[in-house]
Amino acid sequence: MLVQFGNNQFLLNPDGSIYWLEEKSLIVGDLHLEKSTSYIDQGNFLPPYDTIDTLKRLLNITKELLPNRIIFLGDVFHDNSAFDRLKTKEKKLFKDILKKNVIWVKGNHDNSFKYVNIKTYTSYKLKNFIFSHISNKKNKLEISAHYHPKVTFKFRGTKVSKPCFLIDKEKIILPAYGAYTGGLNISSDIYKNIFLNNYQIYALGNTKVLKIEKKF
Amino acid sequence: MIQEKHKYKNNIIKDKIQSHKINKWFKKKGWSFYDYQIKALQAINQNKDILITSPTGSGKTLAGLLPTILESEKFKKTNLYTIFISPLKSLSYDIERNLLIPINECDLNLTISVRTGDTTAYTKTKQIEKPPNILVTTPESFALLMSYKNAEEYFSNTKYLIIDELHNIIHSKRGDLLALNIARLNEIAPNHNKIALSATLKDIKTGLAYFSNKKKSEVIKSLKNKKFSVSIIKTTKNIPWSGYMATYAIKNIYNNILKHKYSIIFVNTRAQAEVLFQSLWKINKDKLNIAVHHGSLEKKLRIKIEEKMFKGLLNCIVATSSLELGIDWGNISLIIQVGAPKGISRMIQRIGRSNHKINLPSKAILVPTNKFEYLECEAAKKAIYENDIEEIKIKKGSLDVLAQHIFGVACSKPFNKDLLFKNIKTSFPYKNLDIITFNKVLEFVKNGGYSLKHYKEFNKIKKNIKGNYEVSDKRLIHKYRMNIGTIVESDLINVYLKNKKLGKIEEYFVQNLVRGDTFLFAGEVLEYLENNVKGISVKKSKNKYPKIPSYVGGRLPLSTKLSRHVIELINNYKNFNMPTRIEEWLQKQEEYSMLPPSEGLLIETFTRNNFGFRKNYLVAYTFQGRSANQTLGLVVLNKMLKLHLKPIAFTATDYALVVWSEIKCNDVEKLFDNRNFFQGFNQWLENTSLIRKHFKDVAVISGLIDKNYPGYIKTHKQIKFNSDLIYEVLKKYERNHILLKSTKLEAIDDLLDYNKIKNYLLAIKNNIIHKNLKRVSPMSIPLLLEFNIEKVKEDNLIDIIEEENNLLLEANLH
Repeated sequence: MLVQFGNNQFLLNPDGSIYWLEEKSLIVGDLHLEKSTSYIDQGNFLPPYDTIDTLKRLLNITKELLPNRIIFLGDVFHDNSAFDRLKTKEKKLFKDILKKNVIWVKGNHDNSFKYVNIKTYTSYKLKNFIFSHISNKKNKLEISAHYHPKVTFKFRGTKVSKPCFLIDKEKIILPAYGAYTGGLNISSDIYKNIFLNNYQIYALGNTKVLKIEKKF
Repeated sequence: MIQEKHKYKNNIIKDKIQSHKINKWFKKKGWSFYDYQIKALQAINQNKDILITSPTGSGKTLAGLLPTILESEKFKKTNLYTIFISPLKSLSYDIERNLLIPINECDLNLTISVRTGDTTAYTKTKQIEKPPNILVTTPESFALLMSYKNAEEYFSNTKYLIIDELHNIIHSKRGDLLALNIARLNEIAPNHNKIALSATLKDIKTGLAYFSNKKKSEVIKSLKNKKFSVSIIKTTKNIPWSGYMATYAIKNIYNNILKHKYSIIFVNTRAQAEVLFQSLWKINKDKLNIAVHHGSLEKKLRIKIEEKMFKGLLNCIVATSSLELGIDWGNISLIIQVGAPKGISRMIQRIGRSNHKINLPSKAILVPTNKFEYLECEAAKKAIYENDIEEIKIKKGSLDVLAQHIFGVACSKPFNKDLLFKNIKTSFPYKNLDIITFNKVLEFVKNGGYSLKHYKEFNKIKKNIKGNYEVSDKRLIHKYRMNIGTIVESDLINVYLKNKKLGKIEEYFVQNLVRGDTFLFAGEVLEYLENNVKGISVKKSKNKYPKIPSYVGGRLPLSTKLSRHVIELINNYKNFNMPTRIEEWLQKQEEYSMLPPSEGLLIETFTRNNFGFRKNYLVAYTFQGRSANQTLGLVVLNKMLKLHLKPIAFTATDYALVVWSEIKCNDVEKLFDNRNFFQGFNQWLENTSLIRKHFKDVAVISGLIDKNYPGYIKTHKQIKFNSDLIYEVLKKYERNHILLKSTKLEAIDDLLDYNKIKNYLLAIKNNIIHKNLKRVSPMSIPLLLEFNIEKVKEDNLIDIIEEENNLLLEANLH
């Protein structure tokens, strides 16, 4: 699904990433790698397959769209020590991805993560667009993540809940990309404070992105 | 006084009773012991475990506690002798309240205390330091106490374990949890006797085997059977073709509650409770005190209503199953059941609420809300008089509960793996558990049990030097206790009126609300204002009618037994004195098509023109209950797709399945062929929302993920685990994981009636009767209207009325 934003063209992908046509850049938010293993000390042993699943999906979309650059919008890792918990195979996949030109915006989960050759930013400006993890009221033309928006709607009589993109004239919020990242429903008051106007909702379907009409 | 007719088998019992204070107290009240109460004492005296089956209101609780009371003189003040397990919190307090009367009036040397999830921390601590003689508790709180370090010492003096309302607990996950802890109690206090109390159980043998593994055991039945007086409401109005709200009979219902001082109106869903309550108040000229009671109401509000009822301040309560179990209100004189009974045992239980005293007949009036329900009411009436109750379906012990239990044992003390396995196998639900499965569950408890040994160095339980398993981190014990239990609540959100909490409603309902929407809750029309962290806030609306009609919830399944009775009734309808309109309906069906036969399956096909669009209908009158029909519908729909019949949709009720397609199906027998019926079904099943929902329950109960704290709107931080996502990943990367396997097995049998359908298709194999009709049949009319009813929005109402008129015209019934 192609949308216009700040006179540029952005392709919304059903995996939750965005492809910026003018800059040939792939934008992803909230991978939360190693979320599974972060609950060990609390006694929750989640199936430890989320990282491999998330990285494989990211690799697939880069193979498909061949971007010149990947912009990470923060919370790539679920916590600051998550990188050390990657298995050998996962580390290799991660390094393969980093071979691209990468812009790394820090998140609240991985703000002290350090890695050779990666420069990290609190927010990054490219052309007129600001890339940050958490949305800031002052920013015009901003692309951010953090809230993991999801929307609930009725489809053929049954209730469906899906991650979604939220877009108005000044802001885009991306859904979370990670395999285990749940979401915050758009009925939450938080979104009212971010968007001044009514925003568009684009839900992630299995093979395409669906525009959802919802009254406010 | 003790009547002479008691044949005391030995004098010890006689002396025990006659010399005891309680006897004098009984005499003073002018009461006498029932025969079966004495029999129970005799059996206990012979060191037997006993199962007392008797209708409600016959002194079961006293029968269970009598052995304890008689021995109380010998009791030490701070030893726990009797554990009383009750399925409902409110029931626990009721038992305490009732037992405190003789304790105080006879000055008995007995202490009693209640422990449930509602008990204050102070009382809980006190109960541990100074145990009461009788502890009234729930299966969950019992499991929790069993997980304490001092559990062995605490329960070592147990003389009696009493299980109340056994029929309500067994063959469920709660029952699994209780059975496992009983097995442990058997080790800690091997010499205690067990007393189970139950409403009439069909399968007594299994009931007994469930809780007792003693060689000597006995079933004691109270001789008296409760008398019933059941009738169907008489109105001059016709019973509607469809719908579930019974507003057509509201005046008759009102007149009936007016005639009785105290009555309960039972309904099947919360929506019915709310609508009925409001409708009654609209015509309440006599200012009767009418209240509403259901599970979603705030605890304080609920208790207030219960107290008012107890004190006789209310004339009538509209209630869901929340009031079904044996709370002791002796003075209710009328039960009104609105909506189909759905089950015979359930109905008997409900009716038993009226005239709780055993020698008076219980009076009940049934109010069908539509034509099919009339048939169900009539059939239930017959079955109730015949006392033809359902068997409880036996289920194998669930593995998620087993996982919870294994960790619970580890919290209490280090355990030897082999001994624990042996002990678990002594419990009824797990008697056939094999060592391989047990080991898998143990591995799961240890570190998730994944084939990828990623969590190898982290373990929730680990072997100590003696080779026994113990909890590796003390903090996990606290968390375990917060998550104990087998009831996983759906995501519920608090409802606040100013600062007053009214109760909880489903999260999905809230998500579809827009500011200004009005809905019925706690008996009032409320307007949605906004949501915040605590829940949603509302104000009272000036509107008389809510914009959003209601939310579903608490739909009861029709029992197989009752559905049998309904078919028999249909085939003998001329022998019943039915309302003319119902008789006419069945007669026209018989003339135009045929009545659904008692052996075999009737399938009708016909075509209708809808706004120039031709729809080909297929109606299968299976009478197999909604969930079985739903599963059937999904499979048939898939088969039609493969046959290129272009199916459009289907609707399933308790009685029948309706499928419609663009192209007519001529070979209906093929669709219901029992060979390979479920081919390809497993793959389809994995992707249904039903199995995802079930996986969530399994994940929570087994301890993979934590319980949500119900009530609060989730903030960003609180979203920790999304079970759907975990399910997807597990399915993709480790299909043979023990949790996935047991989720699937449970779903297939318990939720989808897989085996029931298999057996059914086999039974009708050569007996499918296909009626190829020119137009809609009389019996299918309510079924075709059903589909529209599911869409409850107000503006659809006009469509429904129009559709009803069309159908009646087409069927020549106008």
